[in-house]
Amino acid sequence: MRRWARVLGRYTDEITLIGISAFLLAVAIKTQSGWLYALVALIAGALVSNLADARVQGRMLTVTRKIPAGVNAGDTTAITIQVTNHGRRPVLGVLIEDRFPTDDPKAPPRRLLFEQIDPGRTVSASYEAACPRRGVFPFPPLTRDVGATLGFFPARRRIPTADEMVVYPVGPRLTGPALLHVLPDLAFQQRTNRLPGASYDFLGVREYQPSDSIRHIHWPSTAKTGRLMLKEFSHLSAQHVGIFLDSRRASLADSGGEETSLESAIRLAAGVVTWAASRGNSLVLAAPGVDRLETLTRPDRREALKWLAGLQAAGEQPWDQALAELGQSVKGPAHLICVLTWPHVDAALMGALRSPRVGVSVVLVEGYRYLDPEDPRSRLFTPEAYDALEAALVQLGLPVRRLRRDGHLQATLAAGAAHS
Amino acid sequence: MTRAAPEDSLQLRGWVLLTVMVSMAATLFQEAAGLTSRTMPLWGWLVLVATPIGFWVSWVRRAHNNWFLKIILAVLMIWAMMDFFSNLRANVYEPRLPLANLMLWLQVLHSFDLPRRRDLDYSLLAAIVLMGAAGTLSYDLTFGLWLALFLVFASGALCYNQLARRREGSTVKAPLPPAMAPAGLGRTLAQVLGVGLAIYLLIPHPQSLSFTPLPISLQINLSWLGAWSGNIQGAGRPTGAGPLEIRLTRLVGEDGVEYFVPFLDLNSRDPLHNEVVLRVRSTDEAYLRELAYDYYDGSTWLLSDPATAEAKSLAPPITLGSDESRWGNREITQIVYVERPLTNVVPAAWQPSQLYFPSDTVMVDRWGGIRSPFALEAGTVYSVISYAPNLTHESMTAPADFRRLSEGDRAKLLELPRTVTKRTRALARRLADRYPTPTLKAAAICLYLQQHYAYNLNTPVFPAGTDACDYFLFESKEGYCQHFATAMAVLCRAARVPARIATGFTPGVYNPLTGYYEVRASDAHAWVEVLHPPLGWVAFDPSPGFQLTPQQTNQRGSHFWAVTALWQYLQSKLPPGVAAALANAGLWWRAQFDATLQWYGQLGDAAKLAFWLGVGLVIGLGVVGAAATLPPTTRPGRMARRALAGLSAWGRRILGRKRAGWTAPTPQHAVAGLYREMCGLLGARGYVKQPAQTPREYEALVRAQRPWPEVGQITQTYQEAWYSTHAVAPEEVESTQAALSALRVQAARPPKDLVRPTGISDASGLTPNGRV
Repeated sequence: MRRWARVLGRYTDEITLIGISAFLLAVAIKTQSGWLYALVALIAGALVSNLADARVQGRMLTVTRKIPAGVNAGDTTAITIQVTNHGRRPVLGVLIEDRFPTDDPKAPPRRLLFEQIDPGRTVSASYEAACPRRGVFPFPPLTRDVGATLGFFPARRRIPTADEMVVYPVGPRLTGPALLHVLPDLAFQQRTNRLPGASYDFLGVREYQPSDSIRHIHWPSTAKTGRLMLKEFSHLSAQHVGIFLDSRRASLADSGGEETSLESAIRLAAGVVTWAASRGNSLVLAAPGVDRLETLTRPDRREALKWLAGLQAAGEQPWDQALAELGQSVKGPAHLICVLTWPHVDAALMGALRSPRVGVSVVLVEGYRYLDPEDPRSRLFTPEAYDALEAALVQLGLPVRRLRRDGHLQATLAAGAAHS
Repeated sequence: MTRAAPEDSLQLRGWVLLTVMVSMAATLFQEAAGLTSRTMPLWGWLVLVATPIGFWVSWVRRAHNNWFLKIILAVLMIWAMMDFFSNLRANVYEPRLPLANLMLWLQVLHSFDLPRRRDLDYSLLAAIVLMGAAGTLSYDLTFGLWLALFLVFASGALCYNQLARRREGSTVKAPLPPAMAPAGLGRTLAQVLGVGLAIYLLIPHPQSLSFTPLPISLQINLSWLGAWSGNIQGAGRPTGAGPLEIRLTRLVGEDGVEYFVPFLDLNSRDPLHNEVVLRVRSTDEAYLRELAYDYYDGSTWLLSDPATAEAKSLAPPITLGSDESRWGNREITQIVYVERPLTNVVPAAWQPSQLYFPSDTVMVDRWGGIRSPFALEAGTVYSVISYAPNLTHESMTAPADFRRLSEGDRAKLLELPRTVTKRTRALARRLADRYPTPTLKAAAICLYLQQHYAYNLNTPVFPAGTDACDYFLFESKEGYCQHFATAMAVLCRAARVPARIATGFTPGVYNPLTGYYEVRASDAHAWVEVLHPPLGWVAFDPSPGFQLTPQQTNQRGSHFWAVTALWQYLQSKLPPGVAAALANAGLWWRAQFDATLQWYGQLGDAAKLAFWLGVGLVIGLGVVGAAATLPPTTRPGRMARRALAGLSAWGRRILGRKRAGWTAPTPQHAVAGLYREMCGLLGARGYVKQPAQTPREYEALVRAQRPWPEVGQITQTYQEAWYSTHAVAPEEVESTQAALSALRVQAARPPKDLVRPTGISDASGLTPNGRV
């Protein structure tokens, strides 16, 4: 009923004219006024000819949408609509309706009016839209509405397009100290590398802390600051950097802020990707898929970020299987960064992490609760659960960085924009 | 509640103003055309000046609240309503003018408060309704110019209106170039005209006047004059009323009283004029009767009895009385607009029953002629409801009962002068004696005259001292309507059938654009009325080319189809062969349709069910096929494609079976086609078959002029094929085809002694029945 009301509302003018015509026809029949028949015929002629004309003119037009290659989450972008008139007569009243993928579905669409398009001309118009979050968003069909000259029975047609908008996740800018802040375990002071043959990179200096080796005191900095400063190295000079994201459904845990644990993990991964790509490392991105591992091997930075932008929490693949597959993908010297969000001590996970051929760092992103508070899994997201998981991982001898939900996580991720 | 944004498009306001101005001017000028003075009143000019001022005020004040203006407008609207009711009370019989005036005032007042686009929309709609009002007031083709202007301006206004509507809530890009008119307006107008014309051709025009009270011009109460006795006024003045202008002659009664009576001189005829004298809205093609003459002296007809009876009513209508025949009557409603000054004789279809007239009194003469207290001036409007007797086989063969007719009247209606010759009386007996009733006798005489005498408006004056009827029947054998009517009346009276001559106008030419029958001076005519109690007076028109029985002249049926009129016009312009071929093609399709109906009638119940299932399947397939043209992204498009895929698989199995063959046209239809072709061939040579003529009558008419035996052969075969139980053999079709070929050869020869029996065109291009 509501749909009919909407359709009828769109044709108010036409219905009114038909009503007046019917009235005039009734008067003509009652009074034999011949001119009224002519007037009614002209009104009907206007309605019918414009109905046909609008459709003919609509076929003369091609409409294309121009979208930027990619934008960062939180940025504003401009979408350009181009309309070309291939016909031999001007087309009047072309209305293009578009809806940006992240727009509120209940909000009215963006409406661009081209009052007149001359033959052979291409005209364009743009609208601006905000991109609040990362993702790969397919655009809905464009709606082309041609009113022709008189505007009756406009030709309204939905034009399906394959356009998609890539909004990249924005991660922290991981330069030396920032990287140490996020992944302090990647820095080490002892040249005891579990990965034979790997080289070491100088990351930066930091203040000396008890239990640090005095062999790596950076004397120039110590002299400048008057405090003991320590050189830090990273073994991420490894040729391959693998990033394993826990993207199972369980990762849809609220991280206490406005985003889920998965979003936090993806932003963190985006920062690592940018950092690694700037160093020329070969990347391997992996996440458990529905039934197999979703991987992206040797992508450039943009491809990697697009992969992260499109990552969904759909995976239910077992840990051991996923990590085994990942191990086959990574060849040669490599370091694997596991970004975990699920607080459960999973035997399969532990088994998989126990014997990798590569160096492993673990980042634990704390969740607050499952997205649905009524879901019994929400009860799992307790600090004690994360404590237990961290203890288990430490017991395996893995370096673990835990991003707590008390603000530490947000402060870490807000450490500057990682890329453009 | 948020207030809608004001409309800032100056172009839209300009085009709407032009549209509104045209509609108002059209209404005012059509109103003025209907007035006696034919000039627009002063307030009309005021309206035309005030409207642009109102639009200017609306433009200037479009962003303001204007509450004080609204209050003033509300007060003025109340005044306009009061004025409307006052005008309506003054003339309840013509509500169109007060209503049009009210709409004009409302439009003017509304023009002062048009801040938003929707307000301009309402102005446009009101302009359309005003044009409708102007259309009902229109009398002639000048309204076409207003309509064309309205179309141009309304199209421009609609164009800018739709752009303004689309601008609301839109980001405007590629704005319209600053131009006076939108691009492509001319092409759009051409399209609208083309499609509108096609639609106009297909709209049926029902012939009905179903509203009461019927219109009259402002009522003139002349009761106080008192002394008027119903005498004819305005006779003899230069009215241009044509050959049958009413003339009066002075008579002295037995009591020595001198009086004037109308007369009809058979040897006097004024030249034809083509001016429109009456415009008539009518539910039927009815003759407009003025006077009847009952006394014939051998060269002149007189209305012998000068007495009139008063018919009066305080409020219209004036009841004139009409006897309901046993076989029912056909109601004819006419609204008559007088265009040229006439006498005070009121033309009306026979037999008038109720008269809406701008006077409370009229006089009715002995034979039903209506006389007004004043001569009919241009601008006079009156309406009349008449009842014509239904002519059926039963009513025409009913025995006449003259008991209610006084002996005096009967003697008067059967009276013949001594100049009537024996051979005239003998002819009357020969023609009529074998028929039992007055109507049949009159029909036989009428048909005889139509088929054996030629219509010639340039007939020389008959020699003095001869009986006009005798000279016409046996010497000249040609004449015009008066001669034919005189001959028929005399022959009827000689056959003991009471008869009189009636004069007036033929229905005129129907103008589908105005909806009026345009009656010209040249449509003046004379015919015969025959008394057949209890059927009443039955009109017969003996002039060739005219309908035999004018009271049954509903040739157009109950609807007028412009496409039919166009087809008839084209048919008259096309070469005869092409016209006949097209007509035969139509006949062939008709034959297919008839054969299909016959085939369907022979089907059993199960087969009929299967037939309708098939029809449903075809319609369903059509709908699904149409939906399949929609894009597959739409739901109907997807569903239709799925349905077609399923149906095609099913259809391949079902439709693989052998289909039944189609039935060829029957020999009966083939003969009908040949007969129709013959009629077209002969019609192209001047022998037009009238709808009322039977095949035999038509054959007699043709063969009386041209000795073509093939006409008889084809007519005989056609009659047997359609009106007997005789089954037509294929050989008969072949012989008929051969006869038609021979006739075509005969007809191609130049005529030697051709007499056009169905009408001779005069200088104006009109045939005697007024048709072009």
